Amino acid sequence: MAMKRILVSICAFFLLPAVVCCAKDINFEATVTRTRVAVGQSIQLNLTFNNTQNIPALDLPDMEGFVSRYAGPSTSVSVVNGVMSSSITHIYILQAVKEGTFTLGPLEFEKDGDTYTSNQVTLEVAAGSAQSQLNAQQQLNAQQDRQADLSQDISDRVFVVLEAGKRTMYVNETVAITVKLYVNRLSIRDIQFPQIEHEGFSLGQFSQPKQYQDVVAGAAYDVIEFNTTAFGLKPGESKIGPATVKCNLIVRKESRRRPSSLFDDDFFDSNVFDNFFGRYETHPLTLNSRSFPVTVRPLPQEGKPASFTGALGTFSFDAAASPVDVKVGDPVTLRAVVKGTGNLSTVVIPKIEPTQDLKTYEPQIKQEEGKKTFEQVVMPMHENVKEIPAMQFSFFNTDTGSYETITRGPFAITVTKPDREEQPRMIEGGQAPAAGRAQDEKFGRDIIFIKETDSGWRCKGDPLYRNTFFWVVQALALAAYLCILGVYSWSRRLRADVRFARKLQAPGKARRGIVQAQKLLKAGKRGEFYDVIFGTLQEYLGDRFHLASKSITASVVEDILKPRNVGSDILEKVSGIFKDCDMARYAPSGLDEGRMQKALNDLQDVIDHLQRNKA
Amino acid sequence: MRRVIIAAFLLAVWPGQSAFAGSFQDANLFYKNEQYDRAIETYEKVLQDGFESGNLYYNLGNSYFKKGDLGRAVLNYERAKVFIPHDGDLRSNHNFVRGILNVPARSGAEPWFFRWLDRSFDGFALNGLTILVSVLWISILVLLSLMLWLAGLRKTAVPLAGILGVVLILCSLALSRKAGFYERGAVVVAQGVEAKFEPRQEATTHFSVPEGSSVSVLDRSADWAKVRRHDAKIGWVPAASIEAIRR
Repeated sequence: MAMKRILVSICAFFLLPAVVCCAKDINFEATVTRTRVAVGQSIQLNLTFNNTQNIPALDLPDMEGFVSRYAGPSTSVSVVNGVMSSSITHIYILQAVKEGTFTLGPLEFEKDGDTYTSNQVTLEVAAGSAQSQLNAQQQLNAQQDRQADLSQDISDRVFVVLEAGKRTMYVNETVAITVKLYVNRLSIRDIQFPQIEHEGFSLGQFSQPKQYQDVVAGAAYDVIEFNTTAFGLKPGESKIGPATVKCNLIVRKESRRRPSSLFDDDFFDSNVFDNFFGRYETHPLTLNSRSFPVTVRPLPQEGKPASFTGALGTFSFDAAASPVDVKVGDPVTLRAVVKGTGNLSTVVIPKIEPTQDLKTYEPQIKQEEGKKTFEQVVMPMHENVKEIPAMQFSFFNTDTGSYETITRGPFAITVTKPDREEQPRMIEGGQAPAAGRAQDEKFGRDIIFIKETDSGWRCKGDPLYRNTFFWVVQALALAAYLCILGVYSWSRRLRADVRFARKLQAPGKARRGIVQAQKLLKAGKRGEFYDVIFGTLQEYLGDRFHLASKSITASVVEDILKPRNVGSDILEKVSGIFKDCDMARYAPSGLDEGRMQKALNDLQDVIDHLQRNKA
Repeated sequence: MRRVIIAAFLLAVWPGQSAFAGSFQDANLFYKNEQYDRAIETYEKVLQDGFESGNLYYNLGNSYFKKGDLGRAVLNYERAKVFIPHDGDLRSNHNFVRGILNVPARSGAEPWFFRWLDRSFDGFALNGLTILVSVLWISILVLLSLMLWLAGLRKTAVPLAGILGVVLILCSLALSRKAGFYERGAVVVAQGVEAKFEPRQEATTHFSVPEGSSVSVLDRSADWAKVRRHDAKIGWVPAASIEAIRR
C-alpha cells in the first residue's frame, strides 16, 4: 500500500506537469459558458492556455459579485497535418452573489519572466429568488472558512525549510543555500522553483531538484530539495528568506454519499485516474519557510597582498609554459589553472605585460565546474630572453580566514636565432594564435624585398600639371582650333554670301585700280587712265551695292546713290568723273593733266566716303 | 654650337646621375645587411640631392618597415604610388602594412562613383594621367578640326569625339582627385594620435587617427594641423604627428 502511495505521489508530482511544453507563443484566453446569470446560479469560467500544458492553476483575484471555486484542469493535444498543438484549460465555477453588471479581467499570469494577459469578459447578473441568494451567501462564507482552515490543517503535512551552509560569511564568499519541500501523504503537483528574499545577496540559479525520503519527528516525508548558492554583497547584519514555494494541492471532493474528513486515508485505495479526474479538485497552495539572520563580514585589510584581486575560497594554483625550446618569434603558451571551491567568478590571474623582450597577447579564460583556466601566448623577441616572469595568484582562504599567495615560475625558456629564410616572418593580428595553428599562419606574410635597380629617376620638382608650359601647350591647342574654326567660318561665308563677298572685296579692287591709274597718270596715257578710272568706279559701285557693274553709267548713278543717302557733293564728284570719262572718249583734248589728277582725287574721295559711311 | 651645348649638358648631369645611382646601390647594400638606419639615411641623401623615383620611395618604405616605423613605411609607399602605382610589389607591401595597422581604405566612406573612379584609375601615375588628359584634349581638338574640312569624316568622328569627351571628363576628375590627394594628403606617423576640436592639447578629443592612416590637411598653424579623415570628420592634430605626401 505504501509503495502504491509513493508511486502515485511521484505521478502527481511530476508526470502530469511534465507534458511537453512547446516553445511557441502561449495564448491566454478566458471564456464563460454564458454571460447572463441570476443571483445564486453558477457559470463555468474556462482559462485556456494554448501551445502549452505546463501552466499551473491561477489564484483568481477577488471578483465583485461572484464566489469562485477551482474545478480542475482539462488538457488536450491535437495533431493536424503533422503539426502538434496542445492546450490546458483551468476550469473555475463562479457563483453569482450580487445583482449587477461585472467585468472579469483582463487576468494576468506570469511565467519565466513573461506576462500573459487574457481578454475581458462581461457578465450580467440578474436578481434571483430569495432562497438562491441566501444559498449564494452561505456558499461564499463556506469557501472563505475552508480556505482559512486549509493551511492550518495541513501545516504539519506540507511545509518548506530554508537552510544555509553558513550563517557567518565574508563578503563575496559563496554559501550553499538549500530549500526543502516536505510532503507527508498529500498529493502535490505543479511545484514551482522557490523564490527567496535575498536583499544584500546575489543568488545563483537553482540546479535540478533532488527527491528523497526523510523522517522528521517520527513521520515519513517525501522531500524535494532545491540547491543554489549565494554570496553577500556588502558587510553587515542581514537576513535570508523566507523562501516561497507555489504548488497545487489535490483534495477529494466532498461527497454526500461518503462524508469524511478532507484528507482521507484511503485516498489511494480506489482507481487513481478515476479519483484524479472524477472525484478530486485542485487548490493552489503558497508555502513559506522561515527566514534566518546572517552576518556578512568584511575582508581583513591586514596581510592583504598587492596581487589580491578578490578571489575567495580554497584554491590550488599551478602554471606551466610550453614549449620551452623556441626560436625568436615563436609563440610560447603559458597555462595557469586555479582549482578549488569558492567564488570562481572573482578569480583573476595577473597577466604577463608586454616588454621589449616579450610580446604578449590577451589571455584566453575558460571556467568550468570547480576550475578556471588562463592561457596566455607570449613571444620572445630576441635570443637573449632566458625566462618568462613568474605568475602570482593571491586569494583569501575562507577556511583559515587569512590571505594566501601562490607563486609559480619564473619559467626558463631557451630561445635560438631563427633560420635565415624564416627570419623576416611575422605573426600579426588581433587574436592570439593557437599554438597549433601558428605554424600554418606564419609563412608568406611579410613585405616583398627591395628593388635593386631603378631607371625611372627624375629631378625632384613639381608634377606635370603644375608646369606652366604644359598649360600653355593646352591653351595653344585650343587657340589653334579656334583659329581653324574662324577661318573655316569666314571662308564658308564668303562662299555662301556673294553680296558680302563683293562688298568685302570692293575697296581692295578699288585700291588696285587707283594705283594703276596713278601709274597711267604719271605715264601720261590719258585714254587708258580714264578707262581705268571708269572701270574702277563702275566696279566699286557694283560691288559695294551688289549691282551689275556694267549697268552703272552716268545716267543711272544718281538713281542708285540718292536712295542710299549719299551727299550731293559726292554725287557731283561721281557725275563729274563719269562726264570726264565720256569726254575722254569723244573730246580728249580738253582734258589736261590737272583735270586727270582731279578725277583721280575725286575717285579716292568717293571711295573713302562710301567706305566710311555705311550707306 | 649645338655640339658644345650637348657636351656641356652631359658634363653637368652625368656625374650627378652616377653619384646618386651609387648612393642608391649603397643604401640597398645597407638594407641587405640589415643596417636599416643607415639604409634610410642613404636613401634620404639621394632625395636631398634632388632626385627621386618610385623604386627609391618603395625601398625607403621597406626600410622603415624593417625598422618598425610602420607609419613612415605607409607614407613612403604612398609617395611611391605617385610614380609606380601599378607595381605589384608596392601594392602588396602597402596593403600588408595597412593590414597590420588596421587602417581603413582611404575612400571607404565616399560615394560609390568616387570609389569606382579611384579604383579605375588607381594604376595611373600622376604624370601619366596628366599626359593622358593632355593627349585626349588635343586629340579631340584635332578631330573637331578635321571634321570641318573633311565632311565624309563627320559620321564617324562625331560619336568618336563624344566618347573621347566622356573619357576626358572621367580622366580629368580622376586627375583632380589624385592631384588633390598629392597636394593635401598626409599620413599619420605617430601612434595614438587624437584629433581635437580645437588646436590645443586640453581640447576635447573628436576622433582618433591610427598610425598609417591617410588624412587631408586643410590648414596648418605652427604646431597644429587641421585634418579631414576619410569619413569627412575634421579635427586638429599635432603637426609633428603627420607628414605630407608631397615633399
